[in-house]
Order: sequence, then C-alpha cells, then structure tokens
Amino acid sequence: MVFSSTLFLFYFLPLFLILYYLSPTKYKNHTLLFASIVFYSWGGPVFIFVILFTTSLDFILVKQIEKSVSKKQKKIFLCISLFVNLGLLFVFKYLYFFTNNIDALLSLTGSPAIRMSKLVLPIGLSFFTFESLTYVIDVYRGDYKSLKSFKNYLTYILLFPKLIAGPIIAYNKIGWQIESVRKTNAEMRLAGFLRFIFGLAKKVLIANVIGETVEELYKLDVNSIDTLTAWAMSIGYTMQLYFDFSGYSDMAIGICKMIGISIPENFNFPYISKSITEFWRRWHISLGNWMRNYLYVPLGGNKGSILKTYFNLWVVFIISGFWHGAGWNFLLWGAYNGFFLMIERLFLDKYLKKSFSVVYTFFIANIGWVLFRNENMDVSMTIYKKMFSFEFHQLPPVDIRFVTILCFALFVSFSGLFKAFYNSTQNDELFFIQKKWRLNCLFLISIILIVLSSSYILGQDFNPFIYFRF
Amino acid sequence: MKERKYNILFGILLVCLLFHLAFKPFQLIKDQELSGYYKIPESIEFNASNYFSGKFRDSLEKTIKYQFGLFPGFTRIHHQIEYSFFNRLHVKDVHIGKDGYLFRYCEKGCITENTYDPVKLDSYLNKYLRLQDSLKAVGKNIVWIIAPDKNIVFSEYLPSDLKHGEKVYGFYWTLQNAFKQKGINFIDFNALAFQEKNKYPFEVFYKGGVHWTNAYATRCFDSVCKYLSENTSIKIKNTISTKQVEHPWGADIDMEEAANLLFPLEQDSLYLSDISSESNSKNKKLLLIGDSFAHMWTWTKYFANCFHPQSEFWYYNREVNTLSNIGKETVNHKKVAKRVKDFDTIIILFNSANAEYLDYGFINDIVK
Repeated sequence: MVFSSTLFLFYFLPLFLILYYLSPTKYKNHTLLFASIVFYSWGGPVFIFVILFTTSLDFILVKQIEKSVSKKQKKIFLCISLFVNLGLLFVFKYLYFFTNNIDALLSLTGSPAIRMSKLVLPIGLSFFTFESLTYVIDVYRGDYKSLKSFKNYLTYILLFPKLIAGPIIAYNKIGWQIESVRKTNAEMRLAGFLRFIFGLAKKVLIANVIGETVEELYKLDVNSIDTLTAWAMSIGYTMQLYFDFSGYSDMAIGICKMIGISIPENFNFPYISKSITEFWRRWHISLGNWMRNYLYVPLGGNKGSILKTYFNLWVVFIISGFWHGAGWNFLLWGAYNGFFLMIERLFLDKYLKKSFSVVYTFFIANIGWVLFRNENMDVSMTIYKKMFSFEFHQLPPVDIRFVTILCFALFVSFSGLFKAFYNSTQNDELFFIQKKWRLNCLFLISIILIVLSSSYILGQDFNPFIYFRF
Repeated sequence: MKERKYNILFGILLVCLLFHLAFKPFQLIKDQELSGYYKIPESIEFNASNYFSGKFRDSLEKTIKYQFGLFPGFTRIHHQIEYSFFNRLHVKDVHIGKDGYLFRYCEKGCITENTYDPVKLDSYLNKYLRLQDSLKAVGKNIVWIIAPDKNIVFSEYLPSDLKHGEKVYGFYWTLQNAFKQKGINFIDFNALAFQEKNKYPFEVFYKGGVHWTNAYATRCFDSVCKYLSENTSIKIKNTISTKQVEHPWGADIDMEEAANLLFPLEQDSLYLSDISSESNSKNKKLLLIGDSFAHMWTWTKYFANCFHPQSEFWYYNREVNTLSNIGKETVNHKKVAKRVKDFDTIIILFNSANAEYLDYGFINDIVK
C-alpha cells in the first residue's frame, strides 16, 4: 500500500487515525502495531513472515547479548544477528546479481552456468534490516538498553509510516518514544497533517507528473536524441527522484507526528548545497547518519592516516551505492560520489565557497543521477555523450505541463537559498504558531492541495474511449 | 483557545479525507457518472491463493478506485486542470486542434498514407456492381453513402502532429477515385460538407463532436431522400425546421462529453432540427447498414417514419436493430444473402474514418 493510493489515503489513514485517537493510552501501541501489520501484510502478504522471523530472532538475540556477561558471548550473538539480517538481505537483494556476474565469468571459460531466477524483494527489506542492525549494535555497544516487550520491538520495526521508504530511524532515536506514554498535542497533530499533505503533493503533483514525461523520454532511442532532450531527461529525473523521495519522507514524518512520534528529517534542501560533501549531509540524511555511525566510524573513520580516511570514505560510499540497488550502476554511482567527496577534501573545498558552488553541486549530482537511473551502462554512457555533444536539432519532445512543473520543482528545490524561506521550513510547529495568518494560509493551501492531489491520484489514468467499439 | 482551533482545523482535514463516504456507500450526495466508455475492473474472489499472490490486493485496489465516492468529481477536476492549464485531454485517441476543435485519431483508418490493396479493392467493387445490377433487375435499390468526417472537412484545424501532408486520408481518397472510375453512383457528403461548411447556416460539426451535427445530419437525410425520389420509385418529401437550443443533442458533442470536464468548452451555437416527412414507401422495407453516423438517422426515427416498421438497421454489419429500436440480435453472416431478399432498398452508410473497412463485409456476405 503506497501513501499516494486511494486505499491508503481515503480509507486506511483516516480509519487508523480515528482508531488511534480513540484507543486508551495503554493500547495505543497495540493499535499502531495492528495497523502496521495490516499495512505490511497488504503490500507483501508472504513477506510478513520473513519480517516476523527476523524481528523475533533479533529480539531474542539482543536479550541474550544484554544478559551475556562475557564479551565473547556477546560477540557471538551479535555475529549471529548480523549473519541472519545481512544474509537475508544478501539472498533477496544481491544473490541474483552475484550469480549473474559469476555466470558471465563462467561463460568466458566455457563452464556451465549456475543460473538462478530473480527473487521478489520483500518490501522495505533494505530499510528494516538497517534498523534492526541499529538495535542490535546499540545494545551490543551498551549505549542503550533493549526494549522490554517484543510488542514494542515489533512496533519499532514495523512502524508503517517509515516501513517502506524510510527514513531509516536508528533505535536510539525512537526506542524510548515507543516505550514511553506518548501524548500528542493539537499543534503536533495539525503540523503532522499539514506536513503529510505537503509531502503528498510533492509526490503526486510534482514527482509523478515529471516522472510520466521522463518515462516517455526514456522510451526514445537514446542514440537518436539530441543535447536538449538528454538534459531534459537528466534534470527531469533529478527532480522526480528528489520530490518522490522527499515527499515520501515528509508523509512519513507527518504521520508519525500525528501520533506523537518524532522522527528525524531525511532531506534539507540538498540542491542548495555548496559541495557534494554538504549534499550528502542534506540528502537522505538518515542513511548518511547510519553509514557514519554504523560503518564509517567502526571502520576507523578519519582517525587513521589520510589515506585510510579516504579509503574508508570510498568504501562507505560504494556500499551506500550498493545499498540502493544490486547493479553495477549503483556501485559506480557510489564510487562516483565517493570520488567527489575525496577530491573536495583534498583540494576542491577551498574553491567552493562562492555562489558557483551551488551550480557545481547540482551539476555533479545531476550527472550522478543518470548512472543511478539506468541499470544499463550503455544507456548512461550514450546519454552522457549526448549531453555534451552540443547537438541541437530540435526542442525536446515535452509538453508545457512538464516544463511548467519542472520549473516549479527547480524553484522549490532552490528556494532554500532564500534565508526567510529556509528558516521557515526548519520547524513546522513553530512556523505556524508564531503568526496567525501563516496558519490560515497553510490551512487553505492544504485544502487546495488535498483536492489537487486527490484529483491527480484518481483522474490521472482515466482515459475512456468515446464509445464502446467492436 | 489555540488548541481548540488546531483541533477544529485538524478535524476539518480529517473530514476531507472521509467526505467521499457521503457519496458512496451512504449516497447522501449524488454525483454525475463519468461519460465515455470504460470498464470497471472486476474484483476477484478472496481466498488464500489470491491473497498471497497479491492478485486480490491488486484487483481490490483497482475496484476501490472506480467505486470511490468522489471518483467522478475528482476526475473532472483533474481533467479540467489538465485541459485549462496544459492543453491536454484525457480521452483515448482525441486530440486538440486549432481554435479548440477536437479531433479523433483512429488507428489506421483516419489519418494515414496507407491504402487498399488495389487488386482486392477492384474485386470488391466488381462484386458491388454485380449486386447493384442484380438488385436493379428485380426493382430493388442499393445506395452507397460516405458520411463526412471532421478530419477531412475541417482539416485546416487539425493539430500538426496529426497532419501528414495535404491529403491525409489514404483510404477515403482511394475509395472515392475507385468509385468514380468504376462508374458507381455514390453520395459523398464529404464533398458536400466541404463546399457548404462556411455557407450552411448551422454547424456541420461542433468543435467537441466526432459526428455530424443533428442539423447537418438532417440536411443530409433530406438530400438522400431527394436522391431516392429522383432515381427510384420512392418519393419522400420533407419539411425541416431548425431551432437554437441550449443543450446538445445526442452525440453532438460526444468528444467533449467523454473528456469529462467540469466546465463546457467554448462552443458554437447549438441547433436542433425537426423534420416531418411525407412518404409513399411506408410499405417498403429498408435495410440500413452503417456505423455510428447512422445513429443520427435512427435515433431521430427519420427513416422509420418513411419506411415499413420492420425495416432494419445493421450496426457495423454486426448488430441487428429495427430503425428505431436497439436489438440484441447479431447478424448471421451465413444467412445475409437470404435475408437481403426481404428488403426493397439497401443503404450503406459509412463515415470516411471507417473507409478502410468498406462495408464491414456486407457485400462479401452476399456475393461469394
């Protein structure tokens, strides 16, 4: 069930909210857990068993870690947990990729291929695996205590607003909120709802609309496109991805807020960054934090030699790329970003203090997204070739809708450059509490956005024939 | 105080998400159904196999969308926004031309450089001529009518992406030439509409319609009656009156209706014709074979008032109707030759967009 579906928006969400608010305080987590199980079972009926299995095992293992006196014993339980969690992730997400590549190598030697068919990936596997790991590792490190009840642990992992597309919430950020008696106040509820609506609009009115044209452009023969079309494809996808992902995060944050759970931000105007290093502090922040705390730091971070630091950085970015998908393009995309982080640290950083740096960051990120978009490397290379061939045969085959929405998307993406706008978006509740007219404006805009988003959710695919024809 | 306000605003937003329930299932408010032809997906049975395979989920999500209380309303809002701001219509095969004219693009038949296999067309027309002669010998008539098509008559308004040169109708032009070369008598309302489009006091086509207007269909009907009166023993005299109306009639603005917009498109004035006929052929049976253009003559009962009540209309040579009522029978192609003997006059009417399909196999059903 995606947030922008009729079922979720008009049935599941309002029903859940009503049930949640009507539930006595001590049963709120039960309601939340029940809704999360229904939500996940609906999207992945078979995979609910996978997630239940891993969460049960992790819960038991973490209890054992906490109980264990010797460090060795703790390590054994940690390793079992890591093995199971990462093993499942490997089997479902990466095994096919590896066997495919091994088959390619075997074919060179003339040996028989292994051949396996692609497995269906359990929804949200990459996200909940990383979250499970934070729980296991945090308790193992002794930084935090384990959750008392299995129900609460299950609620943390299955918490439906962030289950499918994050943000990846570390255990230490949310565990205490689930265990404590949560009370929502009116500001939080309203701010959450408004945030949800703005996220929905970003996804439905911007990302989906741009995405529709981008899909059409990608259906063209890339060898026949010219420079303008290649740029329309890449910038279109850059905006589609940002508004899709950040819209989804906004919706997740909004829903959590409505039920009194505060989860960390995932995006903060990434395209106003003045370097790729800064970009990665503003884009998919929760993944960046996870990578820093649970991979970069354990690898040694920047505590070793400069060479070791660069090596660690690159490893983190390559793994981060691979986390996004099992393909060479994702690996290369990770390495590409790691490379820019390195050269920025080496020398580029001091040149990136001027306004040009925003253009530089957008340019580098935009080029990177071409790799990210295309699993077929030949397609990416051809698009790059076209982007810089400076052949201008015709205007890109896009309509006024794409151009309008794309311009609007670019404007919103860069609006954070204006201080007043940037500051106003940093705290939802404060923003409208401070001045009355702001709330009235936001409310009115929200109503309009609900109507517009709903009409795009419902009407977009409705193209009837004029008549029935034989 | 503030908290109360926040709660009220939150409540209003929540009600917004639940407002659809007032339409369906509670039916406290009624909404106009959407126009055009579309299929509501059927929901599949709930069982373990369908559930775990995800089939039940997919089918239910699709069904829910179509059964959703505000589906027609929201769809209209969406379509209106897309039309007003982005010049996009959401009807299959319909394109926006210049000055707000809508055009239907239909696969191969409409705007194409393709045309018939000359050998097959020649053989077909020879069969038609043989049939025409045999019917004439027993005092029966057959008339072929080509109904006008908006894409031809108003080709200057066609959007550029649908234009492939000056003559965009491969099939229609070939058929017209072939008829002339073979000496087959036919009525070409394209030619007439083309001549009359700026002189005729009423509209030939409305901007939002695929079909000829009620007024022009009436004018053409009168023309057919005059042709029959001059060339056969059938004598029909019509008196036509046309008045301006506020609402469109029947299929007058069918494309616009299927576009499901909130507000009507800027239209020419709408007219409705009325006709009274004096006929000497009320005992003669007519067989009308045609496409949707013929509906303008059957729904209005124009022919029904002039011919025997048992006269028939074979829609696309597939569906048997009487001249005024929709029937449920389908044409038995093996018995067409026999059935044709029951009729005194045969009229074949096809719009040039369907020219590729000729008469949908009627002649082949009779002449082997």
